[in-house]
Amino acid sequence: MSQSTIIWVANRNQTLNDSNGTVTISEDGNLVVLNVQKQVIWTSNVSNIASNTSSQFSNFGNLVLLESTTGNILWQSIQQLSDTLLPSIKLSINKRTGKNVKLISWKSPSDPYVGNFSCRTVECLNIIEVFIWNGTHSYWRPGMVGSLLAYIQ
Amino acid sequence: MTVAYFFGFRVGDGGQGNIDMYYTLQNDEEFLICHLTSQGNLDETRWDDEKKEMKVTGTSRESECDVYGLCGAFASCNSLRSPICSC
Repeated sequence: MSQSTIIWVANRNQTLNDSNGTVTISEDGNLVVLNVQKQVIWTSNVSNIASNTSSQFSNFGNLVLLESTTGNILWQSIQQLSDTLLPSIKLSINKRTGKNVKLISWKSPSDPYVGNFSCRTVECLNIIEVFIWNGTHSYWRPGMVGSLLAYIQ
Repeated sequence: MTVAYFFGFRVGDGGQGNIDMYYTLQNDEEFLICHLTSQGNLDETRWDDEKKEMKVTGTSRESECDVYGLCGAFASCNSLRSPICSC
C-alpha cells in the first residue's frame, strides 16, 4: 500500500479543531480554508482582486490562484514554502535585503505547526552553502544526501 | 546566472541580489523531493515507480558528528568512540 506524502499545508499555524474543514474560493476571490462555522481559518490574502478567480494544481505540486480571464497568477503555494523542496523551486537569500525563502520543519511528525528547524542558503566569503538551523543557531551543515548535498558540501 | 551545476542541482547568483539554490529533474520518469524533518534532518525522497510510493533515498545526518560544532572548537568528533568527543 502506498502512503501519501504531505508536501504543503495551508493552515499550518491555524489548526482546525475537527475534520470538518472546507477549501473554497471566497467572495473576495481568495483561496480560503473555512471551519465548520464557516469562519475563515486561512486565506491566500491577496488584496484588491478585480475579477473572477479559479484555482489549479500543477503536476509538480504547486497550488495556484489565477485570474480566470487573463490566466495571471495572483498567488501560488510555492511562495510560502513548507518543509519540502520541490523541483525547480528556489531556496534563496537576498544579499541586499536579507529576505530569504527557506524550509521550515513541522513541530512533530504529526503536527505541521511551525517547528524549530529551518533550512536556508548562506553566503560566506563568496561560497554558497546550505545550512540547517535549530532556532537561531546553525545546527548542521549537510555532509552528503544523495546528489544534492554531495555537491553543496 | 548559474555558477555551478551538478546532477541537476544549481547554486548561483539569480540577479537582483538573490542567491538561489534549486534543482531540476533530469527526465520524466524521475521525481524527487527534499524534506526537512521535525528532527532537523534533510531527507531526499524519490518516487519508486515499481512500488508506486515515495522512498527515502538519502538523509543528511549519517552520524551524530554531523551536528555542527557538537564537540566545540578544540575537540574532534568520532561517532565510533564513547564519548564521541575527544581532545
